Amino acid sequence: MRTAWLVRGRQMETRFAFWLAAIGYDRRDRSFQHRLYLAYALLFMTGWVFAVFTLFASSGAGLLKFYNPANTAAGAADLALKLTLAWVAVSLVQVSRRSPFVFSEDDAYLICQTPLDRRAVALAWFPADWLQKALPFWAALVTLGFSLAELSLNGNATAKDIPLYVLTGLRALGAFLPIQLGLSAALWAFGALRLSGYGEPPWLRWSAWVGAGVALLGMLPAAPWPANPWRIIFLPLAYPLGTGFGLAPWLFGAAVGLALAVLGLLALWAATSELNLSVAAQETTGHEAQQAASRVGDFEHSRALRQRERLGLGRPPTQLRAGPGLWVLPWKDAVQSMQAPGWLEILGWLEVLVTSLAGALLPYWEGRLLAAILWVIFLGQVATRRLREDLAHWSLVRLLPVDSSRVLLADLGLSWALSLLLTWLGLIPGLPGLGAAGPVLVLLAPFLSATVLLAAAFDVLHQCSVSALLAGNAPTVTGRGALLGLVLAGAPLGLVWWLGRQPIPPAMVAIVVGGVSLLTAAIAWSLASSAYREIQ
Amino acid sequence: MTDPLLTASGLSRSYGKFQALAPLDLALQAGEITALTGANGAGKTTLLLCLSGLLRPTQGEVQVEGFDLYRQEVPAKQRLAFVPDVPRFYQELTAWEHLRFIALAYSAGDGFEERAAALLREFGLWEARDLYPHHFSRGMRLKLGLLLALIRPFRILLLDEPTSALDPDSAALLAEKLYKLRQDGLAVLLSTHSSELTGKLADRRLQMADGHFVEA
Repeated sequence: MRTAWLVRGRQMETRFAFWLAAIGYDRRDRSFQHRLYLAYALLFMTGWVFAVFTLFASSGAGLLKFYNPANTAAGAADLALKLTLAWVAVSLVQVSRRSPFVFSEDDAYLICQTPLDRRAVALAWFPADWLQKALPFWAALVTLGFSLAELSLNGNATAKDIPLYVLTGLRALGAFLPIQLGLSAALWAFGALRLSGYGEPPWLRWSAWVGAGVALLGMLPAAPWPANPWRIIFLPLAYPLGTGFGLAPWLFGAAVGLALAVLGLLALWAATSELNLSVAAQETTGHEAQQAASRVGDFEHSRALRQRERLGLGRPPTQLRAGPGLWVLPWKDAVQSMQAPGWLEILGWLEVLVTSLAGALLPYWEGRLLAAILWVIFLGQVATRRLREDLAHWSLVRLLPVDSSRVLLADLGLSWALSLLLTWLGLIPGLPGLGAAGPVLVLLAPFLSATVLLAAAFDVLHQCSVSALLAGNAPTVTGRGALLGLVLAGAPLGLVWWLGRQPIPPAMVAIVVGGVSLLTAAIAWSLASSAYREIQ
Repeated sequence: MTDPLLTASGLSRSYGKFQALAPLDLALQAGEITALTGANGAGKTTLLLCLSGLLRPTQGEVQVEGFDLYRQEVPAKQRLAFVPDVPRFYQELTAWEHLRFIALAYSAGDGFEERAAALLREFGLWEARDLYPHHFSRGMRLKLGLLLALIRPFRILLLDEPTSALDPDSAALLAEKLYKLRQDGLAVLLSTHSSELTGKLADRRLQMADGHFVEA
């Protein structure tokens, strides 16, 4: 028992230390000043969280007035019930397909292969995962509580109303917490049934779907029990949740919630005596690796692991026709994009479109400038994704009998065309408002997008080292790449602004600015292609 | 004696103050298998990376049939094949598609299907041809890496620890392939810790230590 708790405790301690490090606290530093800083940081975070909840409460109050204008507290309780039922429905299906007990690769060797008591491992693993999954629900419940406080004050809140907010939020949370603990434990127990003994019980999957269906049925708009007698099945959840919003005495609700929590934990205890930890580890090590990568901010690795899971084992060969030589690179890109459309990539391109649209439509130069800066950052990041992917496969791509400049061209060409298309699409609606600058921007867009993209590529290539690339690690675009893009693309834009105020014919302005932007694009190309050749 | 297929002169590689490869000269003759041996960190992989064009040497040059590897990279790379000890693959491409990708990149698409099928069968990967290589075992990945080299024409084959993850049958098959390449007049340079492989296969053995060639 103690071993499982010791290992899990250490894991949680490390995770917690990561978040403490994120706010600048080093747990090895035991000086008084450092502890004082921790107290200050916690106080600051508490204040910040409170401020965020009160901010959300304004929208929440609006939602509650819209949802149930006659009885906002009943509306809040109903929303909380629906949220809980939706979560139960999704979780039921999830735990019937994959183990709720998540083990890392290290756990798979160090814990799952040992003869530790299965119940002890299950009970040691449960609290941290429960906490992690429960936090968003707690936030939602506190927001609903704050919203009710906001409504009771009719928007005239002052500093002396802080205790009212806190108490209303805690009342809602206090009612929900034991219910969610019990439900989580029961869901884990259900998942444990699949992982016990020599095989999955045949009734398990369909009963999960039936349970999910019943939970979804409870979300349908219908009058509560006793008006609808069949809704009595949701009463053990609806009643304690209602007490969290003042619909009945809170203590009664807390007692029902506590009973649910005890029942859930007992179910977990009973269901885990023959838990097969090896199967659980087989099902979850990949998922845990993804989560671990996300936790430390390595989203690229996490994305790659998720993509790998989505791809499955294999598939028949693509029917897409390929050309010889350099043309095989766009073919490879097309096959990659078709097999695993990257949602992050699509989002990145949308950001390029939105920022160019914002740059064209915003009425103030300050806003346009901010949009232009964001456009440079987003374009640099999304347009170099394919280049970085190929760099991470250095031993495949660099051996190809293709000149490095052409590889660079193949990696960036399509991104450039797409970025130009999206930039033009963004600029067109704003053309009337841009005046004389509009057509000039449209003409400059091909050079500007090329310059920004190449500056970002230069930044990536300049950071590359062969040893890292051979290990599959390609660097990301840094602030330096964005800054270089801003400087190089900003030069012709600044010239447009300055020449526009001089007594020079517009045609001459266009020629001069066109020449300068061509020059900056050429400089960026020269920097990037030379950095590619010189990778050490 | 004919001109060597590959010559390296004054080739060196440093990482800051650390010299991984001391200036050295090397020539690979047609129809010759050369084994590169030495302890871990002796500089074998660095030498192979420099000879393959994956890692720019700090000094020196590499000529592949008269083409400078770093100035005339396209014709030089057409003639070179390199199999790293840990090959990497695109995760969205299957084994078959990797072979097609490489064959087409080297403009060797004619008769690709027959050649690919024969190689896959020979190395026991036929059944796994439509799988993604990230599901392969280490040995299977190494075999696919070898096939990516063998699917297209070349004159010089560089191999980094080619048998480290292979089962005995596959290692024997590889040895057979290398004999065949030697008979066809190609040059092979392989780094290995296997004295058996060196003894059976190599026409010449180059021992490395601290980035130098030393007496074997």
